[in-house]
Amino acid sequence: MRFQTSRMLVFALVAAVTLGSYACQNKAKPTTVPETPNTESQPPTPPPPPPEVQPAAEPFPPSNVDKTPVVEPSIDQLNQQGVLATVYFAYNSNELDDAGKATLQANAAWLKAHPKHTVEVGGHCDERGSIGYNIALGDRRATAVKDYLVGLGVNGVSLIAISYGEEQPLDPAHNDSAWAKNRRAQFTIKS
Amino acid sequence: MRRLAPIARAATFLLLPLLAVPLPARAQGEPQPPPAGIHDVIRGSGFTKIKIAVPDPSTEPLLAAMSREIGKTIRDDLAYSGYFEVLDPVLYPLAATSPEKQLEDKWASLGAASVLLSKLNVASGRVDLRARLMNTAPPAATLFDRRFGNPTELVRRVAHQVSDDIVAQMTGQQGIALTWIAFVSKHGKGKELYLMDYDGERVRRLTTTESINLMPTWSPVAQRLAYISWRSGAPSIDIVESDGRIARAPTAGGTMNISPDWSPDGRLIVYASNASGNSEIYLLDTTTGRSSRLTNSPAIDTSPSYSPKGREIAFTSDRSGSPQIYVMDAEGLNIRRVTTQDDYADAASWSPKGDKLAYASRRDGRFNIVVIDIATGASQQVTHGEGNNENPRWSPDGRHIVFASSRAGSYDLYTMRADGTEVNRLTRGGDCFTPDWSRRVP
Repeated sequence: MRFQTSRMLVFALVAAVTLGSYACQNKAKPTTVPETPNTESQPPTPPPPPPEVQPAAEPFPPSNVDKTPVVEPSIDQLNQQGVLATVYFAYNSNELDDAGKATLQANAAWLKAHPKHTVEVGGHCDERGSIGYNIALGDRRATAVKDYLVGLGVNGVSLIAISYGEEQPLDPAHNDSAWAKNRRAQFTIKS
Repeated sequence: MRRLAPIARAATFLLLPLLAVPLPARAQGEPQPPPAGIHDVIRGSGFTKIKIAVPDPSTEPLLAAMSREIGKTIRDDLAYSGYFEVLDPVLYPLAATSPEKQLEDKWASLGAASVLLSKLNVASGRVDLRARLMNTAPPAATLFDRRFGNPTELVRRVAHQVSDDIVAQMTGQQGIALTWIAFVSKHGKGKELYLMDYDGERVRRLTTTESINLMPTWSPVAQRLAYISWRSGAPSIDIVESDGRIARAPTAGGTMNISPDWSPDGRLIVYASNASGNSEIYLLDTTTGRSSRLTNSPAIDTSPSYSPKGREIAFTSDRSGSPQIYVMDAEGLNIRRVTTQDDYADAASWSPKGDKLAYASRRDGRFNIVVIDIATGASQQVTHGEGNNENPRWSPDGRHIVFASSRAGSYDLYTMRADGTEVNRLTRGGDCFTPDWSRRVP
């Protein structure tokens, strides 16, 4: 128990430091996105990435900090934290709406700040279409998201667009609310 | 280097020590929901069914269970074929007590135009069935007198073999009792490939990938299946051989290679790929490992199906706005739209004669199976709003269609006559999808 608590504290500290560094980068390069060729309507200056609400680090013996090597969050932790938010689509559509674009601008900022990661963009559909066509539709959604991120300056090589069709619903229910959640492009940091 | 390389091994098709099988066998004696709107089509067609009696092959107490299984399997096969009216076994003891002297007259007195009299022996783990098919009408004649053998675990195949021989003898047509159905079913977090006999019995699992697999399609010339697998990440085309070897097909590239279907000679695989950016139809020559692109449209082109004569390819495209069925020449030229009455159409499958396409059509939010005549454009809806009905595939004789339906809640597999009558449920509560019907497995 005590071990877990101290580990959490370390994460909190590391996360705080890391978030600080994103903010600096955003300040240093405020015009990155607008300079990038982009066929979509000009996006507003990207908002800062969605920071996870971090509990304030409680004081603990400084000697502890000195001995701890600076470890970055693991891939699993990053995925659990949802540092890259999911984008949603209208029925049978691969068009990004304003909310989707804003989400992707935040994701692009994170991706550019963490260029070493390889990220899967999973394209998903609701169950109302056919199994076969939905695989192609999911591909179109994943590709639309990847293309938009590349337009924002993210290195396309680090993005893998993969369709899951209707095979992996977030919500297995058969109603409008579930379908809306299932029509999505979901990010998974792979390495 | 681009040849098919064996990568993994699945259970073998035959004689397989079956992996855990979560699917219960087909529902026994379950009342079939009558398809609304179509009744008495067969009876109204002027075809008279052949009345046949098939008593169980043994009265030996030790063989009772196997004898009953053989008798029932043959009777079910013959009734299913649509060619026969099988006399109720409850009547059979009357033949023994009939005053008639001649055996054929005893059976004729029950109304049987023909009778299968057989004798079952089991020795050294093998079934030996001697089966004599007789005409009862004068002049009475023995139509065949044959022996059928197999290891005891394949006793159902012995029965199916007899059924197909009866069908061939009486109708001149090749039966379908020795065909199989491949499909996928939920297993853990994935969907694995399964096989079952055409009647829903002997379910066996083929893959253990612990990932999603979909849309198995039989090669027309060999016991091999092409299908979509997510086992290594992106959806790709795998081929499983009859000995269980699995190979990855050398497709065009990209991160999506899906919906394989074979050319009639089994040499080419038509499929959809995003190698050029969006989903287009490609053709893979499995002998060279080279793919060529057939379509070029900014729309989604997918779900290709090779015509049985090899001259045309049906596919789904949303170039008009919604998914619809199109047909093109096998070289990718001369694209013409087939479906015009549907909100949404996908999963086209050619009839074995090549004159019709079955597909899944969505109207008013529900999928139903529609059969369309290519030459005339005349279409017939063959399922009628009981849940969603999708992924139709034809039996090799073109008389039946297997499909997935959610009419009982979750998706299960059903067969029906190609006109929508005589619906038969094959699986129960197994979350089963995307069936395909094999040729005869000799």
